[in-house]
Amino acid sequence: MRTKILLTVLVLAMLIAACTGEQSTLVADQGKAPYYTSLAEAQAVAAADQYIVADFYTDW
Amino acid sequence: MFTDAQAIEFFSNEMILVKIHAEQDTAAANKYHARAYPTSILINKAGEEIDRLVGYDTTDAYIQTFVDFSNGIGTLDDLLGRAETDEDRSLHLEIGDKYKWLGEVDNANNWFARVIAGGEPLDSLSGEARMSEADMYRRDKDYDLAIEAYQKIADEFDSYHGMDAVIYKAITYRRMTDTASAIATFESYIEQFPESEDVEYAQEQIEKLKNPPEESGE
Repeated sequence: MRTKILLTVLVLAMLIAACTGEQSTLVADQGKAPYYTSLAEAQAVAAADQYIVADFYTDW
Repeated sequence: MFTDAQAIEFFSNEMILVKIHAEQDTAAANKYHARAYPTSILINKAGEEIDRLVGYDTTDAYIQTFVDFSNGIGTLDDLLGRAETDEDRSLHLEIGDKYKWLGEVDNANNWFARVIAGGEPLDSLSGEARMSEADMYRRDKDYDLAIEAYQKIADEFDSYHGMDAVIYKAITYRRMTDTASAIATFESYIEQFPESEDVEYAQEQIEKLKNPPEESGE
Protein backbone atom coordinates (compact mmCIF):
# COMPACT_ATOMS: atom_id res chain seq x y z
CA MET A 1 0.00 0.00 0.00
CA ARG A 2 2.81 2.32 0.95
CA THR A 3 4.70 1.54 -2.24
CA LYS A 4 1.55 2.18 -4.28
CA ILE A 5 1.01 5.60 -2.75
CA LEU A 6 4.67 6.57 -3.13
CA LEU A 7 4.60 5.48 -6.76
CA THR A 8 1.44 7.51 -7.33
CA VAL A 9 3.04 10.62 -5.85
CA LEU A 10 6.16 10.02 -7.94
CA VAL A 11 4.14 9.68 -11.13
CA LEU A 12 2.14 12.80 -10.31
CA ALA A 13 5.34 14.74 -9.67
CA MET A 14 6.81 13.54 -12.96
CA LEU A 15 3.62 14.49 -14.83
CA ILE A 16 3.65 17.94 -13.36
CA ALA A 17 7.32 18.31 -14.19
CA ALA A 18 6.64 17.18 -17.76
CA CYS A 19 3.78 19.64 -18.16
CA THR A 20 5.68 22.56 -16.69
CA GLY A 21 9.02 21.60 -18.21
CA GLU A 22 10.53 21.83 -14.73
CA GLN A 23 12.48 19.20 -12.83
CA SER A 24 10.54 17.66 -9.92
CA THR A 25 11.95 18.53 -6.53
CA LEU A 26 10.81 15.28 -4.95
CA VAL A 27 13.61 13.49 -3.10
CA ALA A 28 12.73 9.87 -2.37
CA ASP A 29 15.80 8.09 -1.05
CA GLN A 30 15.62 4.59 0.41
CA GLY A 31 15.45 4.66 4.19
CA LYS A 32 14.34 8.29 4.41
CA ALA A 33 11.01 10.04 4.45
CA PRO A 34 10.29 11.42 0.98
CA TYR A 35 10.21 15.20 0.71
CA TYR A 36 9.96 18.06 -1.74
CA THR A 37 12.18 21.11 -1.82
CA SER A 38 9.52 23.16 -3.60
CA LEU A 39 6.49 24.23 -1.63
CA ALA A 40 4.65 25.07 -4.84
CA GLU A 41 5.15 21.55 -6.17
CA ALA A 42 4.01 20.02 -2.88
CA GLN A 43 0.86 22.11 -3.01
CA ALA A 44 0.24 21.04 -6.59
CA VAL A 45 0.50 17.30 -5.84
CA ALA A 46 -1.33 17.42 -2.50
CA ALA A 47 -4.83 16.00 -2.42
CA ALA A 48 -7.60 18.49 -1.64
CA ASP A 49 -7.71 17.55 2.02
CA GLN A 50 -4.05 16.60 2.43
CA TYR A 51 -1.76 18.56 4.70
CA ILE A 52 1.80 19.67 4.08
CA VAL A 53 4.53 20.02 6.71
CA ALA A 54 6.95 22.77 5.67
CA ASP A 55 10.19 22.24 7.57
CA PHE A 56 12.31 25.41 7.59
CA TYR A 57 15.99 24.84 8.42
CA THR A 58 19.41 26.41 8.06
CA ASP A 59 22.96 25.10 8.09
CA TRP A 60 23.67 26.36 11.62
CA MET B 1 14.08 11.87 12.74
CA PHE B 2 13.16 11.67 9.07
CA THR B 3 14.95 8.32 8.82
CA ASP B 4 12.72 6.72 11.45
CA ALA B 5 10.35 4.07 10.09
CA GLN B 6 7.46 5.97 11.65
CA ALA B 7 8.43 9.20 9.87
CA ILE B 8 8.92 7.38 6.56
CA GLU B 9 5.46 5.82 6.88
CA PHE B 10 3.83 9.11 7.88
CA PHE B 11 5.33 11.23 5.11
CA SER B 12 4.77 8.52 2.51
CA ASN B 13 1.11 7.97 3.30
CA GLU B 14 -0.35 10.80 5.34
CA MET B 15 1.17 14.25 5.00
CA ILE B 16 3.61 15.69 2.48
CA LEU B 17 6.97 16.91 3.76
CA VAL B 18 8.72 19.92 2.26
CA LYS B 19 12.22 20.92 3.37
CA ILE B 20 13.01 24.59 2.87
CA HIS B 21 16.46 26.09 3.45
CA ALA B 22 15.45 29.39 5.05
CA GLU B 23 18.54 31.30 3.92
CA GLN B 24 18.12 30.16 0.31
CA ASP B 25 14.34 30.46 -0.01
CA THR B 26 14.03 33.71 1.89
CA ALA B 27 10.71 34.49 0.18
CA ALA B 28 9.07 31.45 1.78
CA ALA B 29 10.79 32.10 5.12
CA ASN B 30 9.53 35.68 5.13
CA LYS B 31 6.05 34.74 3.94
CA TYR B 32 5.64 32.37 6.86
CA HIS B 33 7.72 34.44 9.28
CA ALA B 34 10.11 31.61 10.06
CA ARG B 35 12.56 33.12 12.56
CA ALA B 36 13.90 30.10 14.45
CA TYR B 37 15.22 26.83 13.12
CA PRO B 38 13.89 24.31 12.75
CA THR B 39 10.36 25.64 12.36
CA SER B 40 7.86 23.12 11.00
CA ILE B 41 4.62 24.61 9.76
CA LEU B 42 1.46 22.67 8.98
CA ILE B 43 -0.23 24.15 5.95
CA ASN B 44 -3.15 23.13 3.78
CA LYS B 45 -3.11 22.71 0.00
CA ALA B 46 -3.89 26.41 -0.42
CA GLY B 47 -0.77 27.33 1.56
CA GLU B 48 -2.66 28.58 4.62
CA GLU B 49 -0.95 27.95 7.94
CA ILE B 50 -2.77 25.77 10.45
CA ASP B 51 -0.13 26.01 13.18
CA ARG B 52 3.56 25.42 13.76
CA LEU B 53 6.16 23.64 15.87
CA VAL B 54 9.37 25.48 16.71
CA GLY B 55 12.39 23.43 17.71
CA TYR B 56 13.18 19.73 17.89
CA ASP B 57 11.13 16.84 19.20
CA THR B 58 11.05 13.05 19.16
CA THR B 59 9.55 11.42 16.07
CA ASP B 60 6.48 10.28 18.03
CA ALA B 61 5.80 13.69 19.47
CA TYR B 62 6.57 15.46 16.19
CA ILE B 63 4.07 13.39 14.24
CA GLN B 64 1.47 13.55 17.00
CA THR B 65 1.77 17.34 17.07
CA PHE B 66 0.82 17.60 13.41
CA VAL B 67 -1.92 15.02 13.68
CA ASP B 68 -3.31 17.04 16.59
CA PHE B 69 -3.01 20.31 14.68
CA SER B 70 -4.89 18.79 11.75
CA ASN B 71 -7.67 17.95 14.21
CA GLY B 72 -7.68 21.41 15.76
CA ILE B 73 -5.94 20.27 18.93
CA GLY B 74 -3.20 22.45 20.40
CA THR B 75 -3.63 25.13 17.78
CA LEU B 76 -3.75 28.83 18.59
CA ASP B 77 -7.53 28.81 18.16
CA ASP B 78 -7.81 25.84 20.49
CA LEU B 79 -5.70 27.54 23.16
CA LEU B 80 -7.60 30.82 22.83
CA GLY B 81 -10.84 28.92 23.34
CA ARG B 82 -9.50 27.31 26.47
CA ALA B 83 -8.19 30.63 27.78
CA GLU B 84 -11.73 32.04 27.83
CA THR B 85 -12.38 30.07 31.00
CA ASP B 86 -8.90 29.05 32.12
CA GLU B 87 -6.64 31.49 33.96
CA ASP B 88 -3.65 29.14 33.82
CA ARG B 89 -0.61 31.39 33.31
CA SER B 90 1.31 28.64 31.51
CA LEU B 91 -1.52 28.51 28.97
CA HIS B 92 -1.32 32.29 28.56
CA LEU B 93 2.46 32.06 28.06
CA GLU B 94 1.95 29.37 25.43
CA ILE B 95 -0.50 31.64 23.60
CA GLY B 96 1.94 34.54 23.80
CA ASP B 97 4.64 32.34 22.30
CA LYS B 98 2.36 31.26 19.46
CA TYR B 99 1.75 34.91 18.56
CA LYS B 100 5.48 35.57 18.93
CA TRP B 101 6.37 32.93 16.33
CA LEU B 102 3.67 34.30 14.02
CA GLY B 103 5.28 37.73 14.24
CA GLU B 104 2.21 39.29 15.85
CA VAL B 105 4.10 41.46 18.32
CA ASP B 106 1.18 43.33 19.89
CA ASN B 107 -0.86 40.19 20.49
CA ALA B 108 2.18 38.42 21.90
CA ASN B 109 2.91 41.29 24.29
CA ASN B 110 -0.71 41.39 25.45
CA TRP B 111 -0.52 37.76 26.53
CA PHE B 112 2.93 38.13 28.07
CA ALA B 113 1.49 41.03 30.10
CA ARG B 114 -1.35 38.79 31.28
CA VAL B 115 1.17 36.21 32.46
CA ILE B 116 2.99 38.84 34.49
CA ALA B 117 -0.19 40.45 35.81
CA GLY B 118 -1.49 37.07 36.95
CA GLY B 119 1.41 36.39 39.30
CA GLU B 120 4.33 38.02 41.03
CA PRO B 121 6.47 40.36 38.89
CA LEU B 122 9.65 38.41 39.60
CA ASP B 123 8.34 34.85 39.68
CA SER B 124 9.51 32.21 37.24
CA LEU B 125 6.65 32.52 34.76
CA SER B 126 6.97 36.30 34.70
CA GLY B 127 10.65 35.81 33.92
CA GLU B 128 9.77 33.39 31.12
CA ALA B 129 7.31 35.86 29.65
CA ARG B 130 9.79 38.72 29.74
CA MET B 131 12.58 36.62 28.24
CA SER B 132 10.22 35.51 25.50
CA GLU B 133 9.34 39.13 24.76
CA ALA B 134 13.02 40.09 24.55
CA ASP B 135 13.71 37.05 22.36
CA MET B 136 10.90 38.14 20.05
CA TYR B 137 12.48 41.57 19.56
CA ARG B 138 15.90 39.99 18.94
CA ARG B 139 14.62 37.57 16.31
CA ASP B 140 12.67 40.35 14.59
CA LYS B 141 15.89 42.42 14.57
CA ASP B 142 14.42 45.13 16.83
CA TYR B 143 17.79 45.15 18.52
CA ASP B 144 17.39 48.32 20.56
CA LEU B 145 14.16 47.00 22.09
CA ALA B 146 15.82 43.65 22.73
CA ILE B 147 18.80 45.22 24.50
CA GLU B 148 16.49 47.33 26.64
CA ALA B 149 14.34 44.33 27.56
CA TYR B 150 17.32 42.09 28.40
CA GLN B 151 18.90 44.86 30.51
CA LYS B 152 15.75 45.26 32.59
CA ILE B 153 15.59 41.51 33.19
CA ALA B 154 19.26 41.42 34.15
CA ASP B 155 18.70 44.30 36.59
CA GLU B 156 15.59 42.87 38.22
CA PHE B 157 16.03 39.09 38.32
CA ASP B 158 18.51 37.33 40.59
CA SER B 159 17.50 33.97 39.14
CA TYR B 160 18.74 32.21 36.01
CA HIS B 161 16.60 34.63 34.02
CA GLY B 162 18.96 37.43 35.01
CA MET B 163 21.96 35.36 34.01
CA ASP B 164 20.46 34.36 30.65
CA ALA B 165 19.49 37.97 29.95
CA VAL B 166 23.13 39.06 30.17
CA ILE B 167 24.41 36.51 27.70
CA TYR B 168 21.55 37.14 25.29
CA LYS B 169 22.26 40.85 25.52
CA ALA B 170 25.84 40.05 24.46
CA ILE B 171 24.58 37.89 21.60
CA THR B 172 22.32 40.73 20.50
CA TYR B 173 25.22 43.19 20.44
CA ARG B 174 27.13 40.69 18.32
CA ARG B 175 24.22 40.52 15.89
CA MET B 176 24.21 44.31 15.74
CA THR B 177 27.96 44.10 14.90
CA ASP B 178 28.62 46.27 17.94
CA THR B 179 31.81 44.36 18.67
CA ALA B 180 33.01 46.47 21.58
CA SER B 181 29.71 46.18 23.44
CA ALA B 182 29.47 42.47 22.69
CA ILE B 183 32.96 41.80 24.08
CA ALA B 184 32.30 43.94 27.15
CA THR B 185 29.01 42.16 27.87
CA PHE B 186 30.47 38.65 27.40
CA GLU B 187 33.31 39.65 29.77
CA SER B 188 30.80 41.01 32.26
CA TYR B 189 28.89 37.73 32.06
CA ILE B 190 32.02 35.73 32.91
CA GLU B 191 32.81 38.05 35.80
CA GLN B 192 29.29 37.90 37.23
CA PHE B 193 28.66 34.18 36.69
CA PRO B 194 32.05 32.40 36.76
CA GLU B 195 30.45 29.03 37.57
CA SER B 196 27.96 29.13 34.72
CA GLU B 197 28.00 26.33 32.13
CA ASP B 198 28.03 29.02 29.42
CA VAL B 199 31.34 30.58 30.50
CA GLU B 200 33.22 28.52 27.91
CA TYR B 201 30.83 29.69 25.20
CA ALA B 202 31.28 33.32 26.30
CA GLN B 203 35.08 32.93 26.19
CA GLU B 204 34.88 31.46 22.68
CA GLN B 205 32.76 34.38 21.52
CA ILE B 206 35.22 36.90 22.98
CA GLU B 207 38.07 35.17 21.18
CA LYS B 208 36.20 35.18 17.87
CA LEU B 209 35.22 38.83 18.24
CA LYS B 210 38.76 39.92 19.11
CA ASN B 211 40.28 37.79 16.36
CA PRO B 212 37.80 37.72 13.48
CA PRO B 213 38.68 35.38 10.57
CA GLU B 214 40.57 37.16 7.80
CA GLU B 215 38.68 37.71 4.56
CA SER B 216 39.79 35.45 1.68
CA GLY B 217 42.35 36.86 -0.72
CA GLU B 218 41.62 38.11 -4.25
